[in-house]
Amino acid sequence: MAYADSDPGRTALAPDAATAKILVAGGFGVGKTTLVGAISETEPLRTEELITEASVGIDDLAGVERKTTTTVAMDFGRITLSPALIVYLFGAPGQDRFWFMWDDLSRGALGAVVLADTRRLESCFPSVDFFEHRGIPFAIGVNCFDGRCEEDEDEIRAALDLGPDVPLVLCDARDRESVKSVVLALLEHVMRGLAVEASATW
Amino acid sequence: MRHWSEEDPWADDDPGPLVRPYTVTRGRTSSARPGLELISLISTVRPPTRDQRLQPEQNRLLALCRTPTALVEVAARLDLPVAVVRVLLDDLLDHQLVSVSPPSAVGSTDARFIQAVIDGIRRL
Repeated sequence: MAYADSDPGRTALAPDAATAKILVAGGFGVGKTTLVGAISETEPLRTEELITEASVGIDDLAGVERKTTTTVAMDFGRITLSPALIVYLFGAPGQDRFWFMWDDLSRGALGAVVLADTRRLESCFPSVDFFEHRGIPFAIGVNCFDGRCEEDEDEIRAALDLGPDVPLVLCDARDRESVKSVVLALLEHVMRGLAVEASATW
Repeated sequence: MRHWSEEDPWADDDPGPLVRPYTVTRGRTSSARPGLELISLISTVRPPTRDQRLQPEQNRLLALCRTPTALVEVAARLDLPVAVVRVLLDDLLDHQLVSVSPPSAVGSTDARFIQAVIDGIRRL
């Protein structure tokens, strides 16, 4: 049980503790925040970022009165693995117009979980494209509510046009063990990628 | 250019959410300081001296970061945008009131580090 305002799990961290970042992407309403909450030691936290049409690279407020501002919410959770190692999971909107946020988010990220819903598989296409184009390792988590999935894995893999090496895991975004298995599938995929890179340089 | 008399330049039909957070930063909207990533840990080094006049938000930040706290979590807990927290931190770093975790500790992607994350998550 965790409450946003209390500090569960806030063990005595080292000021120079290592921090890692894992992204959670996917279409609107697919369960990104639920997935983050299932594994986070806190209730998912939220920041609201102010954005304007021309916010990319803006460095002063000149002309700001002409722009429309909007807020984008970014949800995240924390897992303190040890006093020297903390993992943050970030869920953020997968719509095309928010991709500039993902540039900031994906810098230094270990990889991404793309959460898919078989009822509207197409809503995760933009996320898959984004990570493929940037060479950011990702795994697909297919969110199966109540453990039921009508389509089979091969069909989903074909529909998403996934490479054979991209992990695809059926999961329940509400279930901690299930979410752990998706995150581990991603991290093991990242490790395999590093091994391939290392052997290529030899 | 509109004449002043045509429209009150101070009137604003939709002031939006932009005003208050950037009042906190005295109008500054970006920090040029490198190494302030979303997951950089911010730690309070010492309390401010009496002549260091800080803003209430900066005092709240110092209180929060007595436990090392990631930049993005500071933003969430102070209910301020990340960009605003970056600017607030600029001043606090100038005054040497806070420290930031070293870049090498933030978002490493080397194999030993990733293996430590895998082992940690398996143990959860």
